[in-house]
Amino acid sequence: MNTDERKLMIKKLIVNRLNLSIDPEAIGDDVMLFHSEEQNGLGLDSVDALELAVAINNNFEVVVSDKNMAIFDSVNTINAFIEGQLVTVN
Amino acid sequence: MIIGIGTDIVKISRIERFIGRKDETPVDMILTHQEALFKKGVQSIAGAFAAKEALLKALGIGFSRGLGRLLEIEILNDDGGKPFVVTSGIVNEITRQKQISCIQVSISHDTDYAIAFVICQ
Repeated sequence: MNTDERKLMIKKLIVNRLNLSIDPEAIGDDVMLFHSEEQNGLGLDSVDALELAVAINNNFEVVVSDKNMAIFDSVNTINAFIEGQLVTVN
Repeated sequence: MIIGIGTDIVKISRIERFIGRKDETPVDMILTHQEALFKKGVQSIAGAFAAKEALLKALGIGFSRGLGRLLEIEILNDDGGKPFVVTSGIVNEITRQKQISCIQVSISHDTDYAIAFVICQ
């Protein structure tokens, strides 16, 4: 899976897991997931954070750590976290 | 002296959906073992979640210090049913740094929503 494929998978995971009524491909790679829509973010909240943590753990076989919640900032940061975990494993 | 206040509201159906997923144990991310002994219904679990969120807001940290902070806040009930808060770990350390000696919490729910309000003194 290349980077673009993984980012699209992350976007689909966000939309499906959180029941969002938007096109996954409409989520920009740098859109701040937890910023409000007025701030051009996706407007996610703490329940969404729990959902995302479980979904990412299960779908990418990584462990989301408490130590760096910034990984949830955007699709790019989630992808970078997953890629970092893959490098660690390899 | 009031050092911090926090409030949170949560849609109960969202908590129900989260904890109801098969082959996962997400309720373990919200409740400690001790809490889980007493909080069986989704209303009380949603109320506890809202209370924990409210306290994190009152402390000024939200989720920025990690999802694991939820398990460092226990929402328990005295013999009369009044909720009280027990903190541990990083959350306890922050309350000490802020010289908080008393945390008061109030929780309510009605049909679709649970809401909690916290005062730190």
